[in-house]
Amino acid sequence: MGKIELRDFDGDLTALPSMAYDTLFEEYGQDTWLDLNRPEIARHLFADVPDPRFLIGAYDGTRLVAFIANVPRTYRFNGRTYRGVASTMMAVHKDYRGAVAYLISECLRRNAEFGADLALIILEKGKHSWRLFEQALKPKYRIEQLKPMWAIARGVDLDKIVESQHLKWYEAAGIRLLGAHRPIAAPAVSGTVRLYRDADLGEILALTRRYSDQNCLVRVFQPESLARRLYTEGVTSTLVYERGAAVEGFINFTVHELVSRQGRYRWAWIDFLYWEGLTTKEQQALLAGLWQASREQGCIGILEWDKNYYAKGALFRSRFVPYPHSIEVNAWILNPDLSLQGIDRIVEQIV
Amino acid sequence: MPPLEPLSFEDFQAMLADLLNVDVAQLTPEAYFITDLGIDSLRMIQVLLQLEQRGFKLSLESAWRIQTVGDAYRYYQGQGNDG
Repeated sequence: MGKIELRDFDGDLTALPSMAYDTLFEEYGQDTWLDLNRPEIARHLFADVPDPRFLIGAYDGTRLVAFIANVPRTYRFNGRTYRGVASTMMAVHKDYRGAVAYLISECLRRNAEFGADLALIILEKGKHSWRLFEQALKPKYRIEQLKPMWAIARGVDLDKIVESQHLKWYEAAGIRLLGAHRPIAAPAVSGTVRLYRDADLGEILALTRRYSDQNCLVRVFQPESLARRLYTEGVTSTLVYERGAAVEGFINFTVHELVSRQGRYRWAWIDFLYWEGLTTKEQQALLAGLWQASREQGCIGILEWDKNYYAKGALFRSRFVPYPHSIEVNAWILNPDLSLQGIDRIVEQIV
Repeated sequence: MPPLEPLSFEDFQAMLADLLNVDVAQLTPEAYFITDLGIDSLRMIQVLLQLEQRGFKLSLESAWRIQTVGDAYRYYQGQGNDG
């Protein structure tokens, strides 16, 4: 062990879990953690990366010891467009924890070269990376906390949820009492809920451009990146609501794996959603379709992070309940003319 | 403001030992902060910021250059020569 070198990630996706898993098991103990290092997720995220300089590896010789992905993204905010990166998948081998400082150092340099206005960073309160930012970096650098996000969840397989989340008997009983584990009933509606097809891309792209960017950070999609987001086999899926041959709404989700020492558990995370023109019943119909699609893909539950850019009444009517987990969305501001303080809505995926 | 008196390597070691809370004997010029001293990233950045408060100018973008105790001292000496 010796000198750490920072260089473009060499593309070996098998090195990511080898590097990160021991550290994650140690940090999370008996709790579950989100596996961003599995090759399917990595491949999906990296498809949006046009240049290897956005993927930074810290190496001890040929061994990957730390990693971070800066995935380039475009955002709208208060009528202007900004160049951003989503800094994600930060992970380190447990014998090289200090290498994260070097990764952050190199990120800053590369993001400045790229001309990024901001870098989005998602942190879990209490974890090592959160302490790093809170105690060491925020006092010195322009890192704005944009929004805390709490989650609500809907059961698909309650027994697996009880097992993986170590729910107490009264917590499980509460979920059963509410009916938050049963299939979501699909109300009678005039339209159709179905899986996304390639031909829907243009209509969905148009819907994403309707998000208001007033006091809201909005992800801007190009057709190619949106197509990947809407459907990548085994990773992302989308349900659409079609009324009169027009796509009027959609729910997009990622199938994530939460890992603990007990095993791996699939969850459907709602990422992007548009249902402004739908009635509450139509929204519930879309959620019923999501529930079925989640079950078919082996998910034990559905998770929604309160990004606050859509009405949530249909979610609560469909028995989504509080899930004891929260994150903080932060932005490292690199453009001195930009401030995101006070925004209350974010149209972006959590990863 | 008059320039700070340049530190000898021994004084620099003592300062680092205090910041890192390690035995000064471990802080040989060849000692790697991460792999030999086991400094984690939080401590690493806190130390860089504390060194900055003591007159040691280092931007976070250049932090990756400081891998050993010797690197840190050479970087410190180089700043002194630049005046």
